[in-house]
Order: sequence, then structure tokens, then C-alpha cells
Amino acid sequence: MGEKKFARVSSFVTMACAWSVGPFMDKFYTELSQKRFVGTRCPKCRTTYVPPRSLCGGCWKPLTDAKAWVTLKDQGELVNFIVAHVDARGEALSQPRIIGMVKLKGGGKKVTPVYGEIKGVAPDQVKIGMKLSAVWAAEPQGEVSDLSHFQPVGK
Amino acid sequence: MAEEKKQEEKKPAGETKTVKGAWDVKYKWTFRTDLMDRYVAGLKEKKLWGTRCGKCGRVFAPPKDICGKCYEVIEDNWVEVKDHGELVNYTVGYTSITGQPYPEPQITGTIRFEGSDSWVLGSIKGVKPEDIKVGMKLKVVWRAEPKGQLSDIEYYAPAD
Amino acid sequence: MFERKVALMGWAMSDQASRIEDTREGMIFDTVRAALDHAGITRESVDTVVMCSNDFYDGHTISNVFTVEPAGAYAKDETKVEQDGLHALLYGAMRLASGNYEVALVVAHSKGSEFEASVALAAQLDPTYDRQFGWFNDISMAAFQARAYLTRKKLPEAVLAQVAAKNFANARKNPQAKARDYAAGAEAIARSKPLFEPLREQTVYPVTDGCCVVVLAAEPAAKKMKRKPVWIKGIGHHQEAYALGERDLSKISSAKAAARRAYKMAGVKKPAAEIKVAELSEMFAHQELMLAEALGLCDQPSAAKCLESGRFDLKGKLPINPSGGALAACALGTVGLVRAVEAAEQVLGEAGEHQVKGVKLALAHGQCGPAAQNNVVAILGK
Repeated sequence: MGEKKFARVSSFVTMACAWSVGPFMDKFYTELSQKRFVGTRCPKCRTTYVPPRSLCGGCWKPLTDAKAWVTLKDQGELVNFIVAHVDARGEALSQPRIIGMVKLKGGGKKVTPVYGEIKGVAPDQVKIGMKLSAVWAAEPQGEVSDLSHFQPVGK
Repeated sequence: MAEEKKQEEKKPAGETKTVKGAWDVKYKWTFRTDLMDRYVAGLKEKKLWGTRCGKCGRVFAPPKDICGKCYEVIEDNWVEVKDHGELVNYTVGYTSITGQPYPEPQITGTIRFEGSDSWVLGSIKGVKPEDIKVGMKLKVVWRAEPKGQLSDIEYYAPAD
Repeated sequence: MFERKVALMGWAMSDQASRIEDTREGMIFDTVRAALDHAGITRESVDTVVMCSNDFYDGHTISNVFTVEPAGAYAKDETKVEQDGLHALLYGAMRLASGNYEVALVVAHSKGSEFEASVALAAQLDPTYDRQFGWFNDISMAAFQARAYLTRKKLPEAVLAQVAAKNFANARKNPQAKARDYAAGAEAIARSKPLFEPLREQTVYPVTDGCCVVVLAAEPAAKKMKRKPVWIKGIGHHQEAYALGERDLSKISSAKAAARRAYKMAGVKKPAAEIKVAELSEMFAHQELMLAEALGLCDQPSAAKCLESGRFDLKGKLPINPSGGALAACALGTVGLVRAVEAAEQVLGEAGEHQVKGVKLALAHGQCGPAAQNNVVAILGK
């Protein structure tokens, strides 16, 4: 039997994508560019979805009524966090960054948290439950980076 | 307020914001080289090699490592096939796959070498699109000085 | 159970190694042939082939066109699942239970050495929000889950290293696990490179190459085959919400629901006593503890305390992952099927050095989706 031989062939598959975000996320980003967080609230279970959803996942109720929209405060509390040493591709960051899940005020008791970087506190000082306020980008563009980061209230 | 209105006016009705991204992944595929190496070495000598299934007798040129039907390893069973054969199928192309128009129509076809049961894809020249016929006899037009590369087969032409 | 009983009648696994020096097709051909030999059949007896693979991982769309022949599926009914190997097993079992087929081949494979796992898995996330940040892939999503669990249970991060250390020690007895240095103890694991804290390199699955194949047969056909059947006594599948913010991340509710369905089918009333060994797809160390709780495998409320007491050790009352689990070796997409094979070997006493004594019922678990959003639980027995 002949010897099997192999070669490695490198390739790069790239596909540029442009996703239409839909009317709910469209409004979310428009409001974000105005330094405001908005969500939609289910009339049945009172969960406020941030970013907004068109349907309540639990109740299966459409949230398409204009009355479903809620404007939240840009302050809230930290409900979860991780400390990133690499990015989404696995490449090392120049310094670790704290990424949090923040439950914003003004949406009632049940609000889904938004993501944001947490600054102004050392990783080993972060406490779940700490009060945070949003710091906005100087020139919001209607993108996630409009929210620059969250920092502890009173900073 | 005025800025907000400007943003909303920009978009036609029904259209929403677009976010960009890319699906970009680096791959490092493993390819098996020994079978094709032997096939390509044969081209240097103007020979075409394939592998044969001992069970069903089918010959594959270029060579395959297994016969899927019989589920047997056939990579040791080398046979030579002829450098002429018949046209199995063809299409007449007027543009490239990226839509660039050709100066002249290009005929691409599948050819079964005599002695082989499989087909190869190739460029067919020396025959007009209106004259081409499935089943017609074709031959390999070899590069004058073969180098041991796939391009030693320059194209296929009607066999005289 | 289904109207027709379905059994695992043979199987084979390639090494689960960082790199297998072969083409994808070569790896599949060798493994499928070995599984057919193990079951004592030829491909003539196979009615349907269920592939489990992912176009992103393979780098081709409809990548299973290339694997038809080596998988023995030439001129056969061939289909594909893009989730986990245990979903493929479920699908294969359902095809047999329907009465339309008698024998199924389930083939799961991927070659982690050939693509960028983080990038491919980041692509499973919502492009309109989650992906826009550039921070999120399956590991960072799971890290939030780890934090939620450790916070609610008031556990130190060190417990994650203890899970990994147990599984590494088990992997040393598993000749096919070849993905990392299994000599590392809890202290070294706890100091390994942080990725998204609380998760570190050694408390996260290693990406490997691998192929796993199972021959399934429905009862009439199974009785005619040479090996003792390992019956699927019960199986359940459940999925929760996509968005992390809509879930209680400190629990895996879909695993609990999947298990409940599987236990009901299998007639298991007290899983903590009746399940003798569990092979779980713990892609991240914290998930082993969360799954142990969700699946009712603990004899006290805290899985961490069970771990500490040795309950889940190879020599413990209910060993978890005697094979080393996903933390030992993980060819993406094969993990749940590998767990099923390991569980089946335990049932028949064929698990070699990592055999658990007196196994009547074994549990296999598979998952997919961010932070174990989607879970399959199978109960196997004689």
C-alpha cells in the first residue's frame, strides 16, 4: 500500500453581510442616538424587553401596540459581569475589560438587562447589585457604541 | 428634535437601519496529495491514470481512494485510461462565472476517457457550438512539452 | 418509550486529538467502517444515515455532499443535523421509531484544527445587537452563566478548577482523549490563562478533531444483530430562550425539562439512586455542576458539595464523566454522541479502565446554543 500524503491548504472565507434590523431595533438605535434607552413591555406578564422585542417570548403576545413602548432611565444596577482578556475572535486584549449586564431603571420589576462595558471600578471591586449610570459617546451614531460605558453612580 | 426628523426622513418607508458584519473565518483544510501526485506525474508522460474498484469494476480517472458504491478502498488498483473518449455533456458559456462577457462563446463539457467510468470537466475547442453533439469523439490536446501539471491537458478537441 | 424500541448496536470513535493527520473524508471512512464492523453488519443493512456536521466548521456550504461516500451513504437516504451528536442520535432514533426504517447510522464529525472555533461560534449570535459589540462568542456567553451560578450558590471560582481536575484525572484513563495535558491539577488549572473570567483556558473545552459513529437498530432488526442491545430507555429534548437576559442563567431549565421527559419515558422515579453513571457535555466546568443539579443527580442541594464529597468521582456513588467529558476532549458537534457511546460502554461493561461497577442505567447528555440553551438527555440500559 502506498503511503498517504497530506497537505494543508489555507483559505479565508469571507462574506460581507448587511442585516436589516427591523422596525423594533431600528427605533432602539434611533433612540440610542438620542441618548435614550427604549424597550417594549408585555401587557400580560409586565416584562420589559430591552432591546425591544415585537413578541413576548413567554406569553406569545404581540408587543406591536404603541402603548407597549417604554423609555427607561439611563441608570440601573449590575446583574452580571465577566472580565474579558480576549475578544470575540480569541485575540488578546491590551488590557482586561469588564463587560456587564445592566438592568435599567424605569421598566418595572421585570426588565431584561442590556450589555455594556463597566469602567471606573477595578475588576476585583465589581459587585453584583452595584448602581451604575450610562456614559454616552460624544457624537452618537445610532450604534451600540453610542453607549460608551457604565460607571458607578456618583463618579 | 430637528436632527431626529432628519434621520427619519432619510429612510424610505418600510426600510430600517442596516448593521454590517462579516462572516470571515480562516480555514486550514487537509487535502490528500499522493493520489493526485501520481495522476499529475502521469500527465508529464501524456498518460492518464485512474483507480479501479475490484468489486464492481468501475474505473475513476482522476483516481479516487474509495468506491462509494462497494464501500471498498481502491487506491492501490491503478489502471491506465486512453487520452481520447466521448463527450457526455456540455454547455455553451457566453459570460464568465462573475458575469464578464466572453469575446467568443466558450464550450465546457464533461468527457469520459475510454476505459474510465467517471467524467472530467474540460474546455472544448475546435468545434462550433452548433456542431457539437453529445457522444461525439474527443481527444486530449496536450501541451507540447508537458510539465507534470493539470494544465498539461490544454483542452479537448474532436478526434479525427 | 416509542412504539418500537431502539438500541445502540455498535459504535466507533476516532481519537479525540488536537489534530488528526487525515482528511475529513478519510477520518469518517475509517470510523464508519469500524462502527459497521463493531455492529457486525455491512452498509447494505443501513437504511438511513444521519450526519451531524456544521457548514461553518467544515468551510463548505452543504458540506455533507462530500461526506456521503465515506459515510457509507451512497444511494441511501441521507440527512443532516447541524446541532450536536445527541440531537442526531435522537433524530435517527425517531426515524427508526416511525417504522419507516430498521437500521440507522449516526455520524458526527468536525476538525477543530481546520477552522477558528471562536469565530464560527460567534456567528451563532444575534447580528443586530449581540454581535455588534465584538465581545461575544460562546465562551463569553457561558462566562455570564458561570458568574450567575457561582453568585447564587455563593461558590468560589476555585470549584471550577476542581471539576476540571476530576475530569482530567479521568481522561488519563481514556486512551482516546488526546487533547491537552491531563496532568494539571486544580491549582494549575485555577491559574491557567484567563479568557472571560470566571472562565479560563483549562475550565473551557479544548477544540479537537474527531469522528464518532453509532449504529442504531429498531427492535426487530436489533434482535438479529450479533451484539447485546443498549436500549434507549428514555430521551428528551428541550430548548429555552435565546437571549441571556431572558433566562435565569443560574439554572439550566431546559436540561431539567429534557431530563424530566427522558425519566418519565424510562420509568425513572429517583434519578439520584437509579442512574449509576452520567456522561454530560460539560463544555465549561460550571456546567457540570449546573447539569448535575438540573438532572437530579445530587443527593443534596449543592452539586459542589457532592463533588467535594467524592460522589461524582470515578469511584464515587454516581460518577460523572468517567471518560473525562468535554473538558478532556471536544470535537465540536460530536460531544453528545461521544457521551452516548461512553454511556453505552458503561452499560455493557466495555468501558475498560474507566468502567463503573454495576451499571443498569446510564445517562448521556448533549447540548448546543449559547450557554447550553438547548439540551438532549438520553437514558440507556440493557
